Amino acid sequence: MSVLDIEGVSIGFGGVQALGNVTLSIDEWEVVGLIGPNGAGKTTLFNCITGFYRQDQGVIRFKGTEISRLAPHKRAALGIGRTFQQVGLVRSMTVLENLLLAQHLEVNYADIAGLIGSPETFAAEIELRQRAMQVLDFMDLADLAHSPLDGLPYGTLKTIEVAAVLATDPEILLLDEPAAGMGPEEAHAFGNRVREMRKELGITVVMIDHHVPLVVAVSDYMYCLDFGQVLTHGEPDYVRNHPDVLEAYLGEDTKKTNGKPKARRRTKTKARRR
Amino acid sequence: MAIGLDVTHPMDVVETDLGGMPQGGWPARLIAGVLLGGGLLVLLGVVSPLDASRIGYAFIFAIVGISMRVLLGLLGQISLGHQAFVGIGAFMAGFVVTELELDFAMAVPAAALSGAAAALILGGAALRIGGLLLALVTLTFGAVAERTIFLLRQFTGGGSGLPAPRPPWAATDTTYAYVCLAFLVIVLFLDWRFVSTKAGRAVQAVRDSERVAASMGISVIKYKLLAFMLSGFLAGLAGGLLAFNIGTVQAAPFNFFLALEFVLMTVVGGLQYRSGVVAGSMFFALLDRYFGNIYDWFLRQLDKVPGIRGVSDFLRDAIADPGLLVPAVGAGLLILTLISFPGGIGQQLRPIVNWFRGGRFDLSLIHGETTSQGGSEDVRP
Repeated sequence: MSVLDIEGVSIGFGGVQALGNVTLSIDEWEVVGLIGPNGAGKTTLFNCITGFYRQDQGVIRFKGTEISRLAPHKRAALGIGRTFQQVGLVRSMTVLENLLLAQHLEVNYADIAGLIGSPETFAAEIELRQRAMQVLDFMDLADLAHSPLDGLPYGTLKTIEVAAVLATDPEILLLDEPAAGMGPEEAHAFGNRVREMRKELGITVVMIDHHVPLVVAVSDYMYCLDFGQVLTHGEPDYVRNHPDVLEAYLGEDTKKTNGKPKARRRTKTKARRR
Repeated sequence: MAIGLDVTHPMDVVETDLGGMPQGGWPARLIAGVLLGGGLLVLLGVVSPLDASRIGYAFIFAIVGISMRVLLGLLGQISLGHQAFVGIGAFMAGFVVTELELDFAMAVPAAALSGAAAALILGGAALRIGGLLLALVTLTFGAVAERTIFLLRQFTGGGSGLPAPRPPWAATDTTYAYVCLAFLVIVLFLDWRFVSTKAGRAVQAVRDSERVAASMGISVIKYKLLAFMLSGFLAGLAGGLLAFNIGTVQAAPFNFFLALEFVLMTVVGGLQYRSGVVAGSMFFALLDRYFGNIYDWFLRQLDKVPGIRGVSDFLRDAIADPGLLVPAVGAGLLILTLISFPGGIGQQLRPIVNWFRGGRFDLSLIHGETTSQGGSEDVRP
């Protein structure tokens, strides 16, 4: 059964077609990789799914329900969790506080009860802390629980961000370049963790990353976007070797690419094609 | 500082080993806390009624400081019209006791609720705009309130003001100062619980990034309005208490200078630190109340210096109302704060607060990591 259905989604910004008739479907428990050159529309698609953008055309369904008209926080409440390219955490808080914050929807007392210090809120806060520590343990971050975010390395922040989104208890997790800033070994460990998450927590994962070998290793299914359109999709090995994909990455052999493929000057290339 | 780059001091190791053990133990903290609190209670009892009234005024300012902190520190939005909320609260309290002939116990909640209602309206504007534009809107709000609501004869008694007699059980300046202290303690508790629970965290998330907050399921609209309402509630409460502190509510004191003082005292106090905001607010309030005395003393000292007799006379003529110098002093302190301690007085108090919480008395905390304020990371699509 598909968790997320995207049908013919298009969105343009002042004459630039960021997404053109994108259709894809993501099944339950699947890890889906989303690759494509810079400016292909990957993050735009995430923004449409999470509600930061409203698509001009097309339908987005989450577990069969149309969600296109819902505000972002309501989509999050349905179980759509996401990470950001720039780290989506509150910088002035500690790691643990961020995880407490992320459990906002899990908190079962009223705002006013927290404000006046009603007794059950103290117990609830202790529970939140325990759950936060469990998630941090799962991500091997327990040691950092009380450290402030300022000064932590970028790769660590990205991992903390994933931990925070996990704490929101999502059904589907949209990861936007989670391995950016990680070294090859770290990225490999991260890939294993994504598989583990799916297995132990039973969540569906959609992952954007420029680290193609990582995406290939982790995904069950892959989509490649280019110029806001689905270039091709299929099994990871099929997609990575697809001639169109190789061309989209400007002839760079994806098998040897270890890092981020170089950004193309998108508009120029496009102009020449037309 | 080329020296000692690679030198590891054996002392450092010993010190870090002590990390988990509270320095001096909990009994020491309890004794220190009791001495501090008890000292304050005794002090209020022994000082003259005038001084007690001024200290009570400082407690009320501390409540305003906490109210400012909710907006400025937690939500990251500046309010230059906060005197209007305090004023509305004060007039509401006066109205309830004088016109409706109800009790103090009704007047103070009514004042707080009227502040919350006024702030909710302004919060509506904050949903669409922020930063400088919102500051402008709040400034306008304060200025307009001064000339409209505060001059409504039916509500504020016009120019002569509304009398706000204290309840019989707190009729003296000294007992009323204790009442203000009690309210401050309650407000501090509320603020502590607010930042330690769901709503306070959500407001801080909205400050840092509305998108990140929304992706965590936080309703940006709801928590912005909530922060405004809480801030207005506390400001209105402070206004209500202020009415009874002064005894007569008039429009004149609730002008832009007061709003400026509110912003200055909160920033100099240190937005991140509750203790700093309280200390900063009380400092400004006491400065405000005692500035005349200090200034007179200063001029008298000048008179004693031979040869410059004209200077003090000139100053007496030039600065007729020394009270107006308070914001200037505040601005000077603000610059000093921003240069040396971005975290304000609260940053300077950190070693003490940290010790009370069971940590070490570590003077390096004064210069320790400065937590950044406001929207730190812009999350773009």
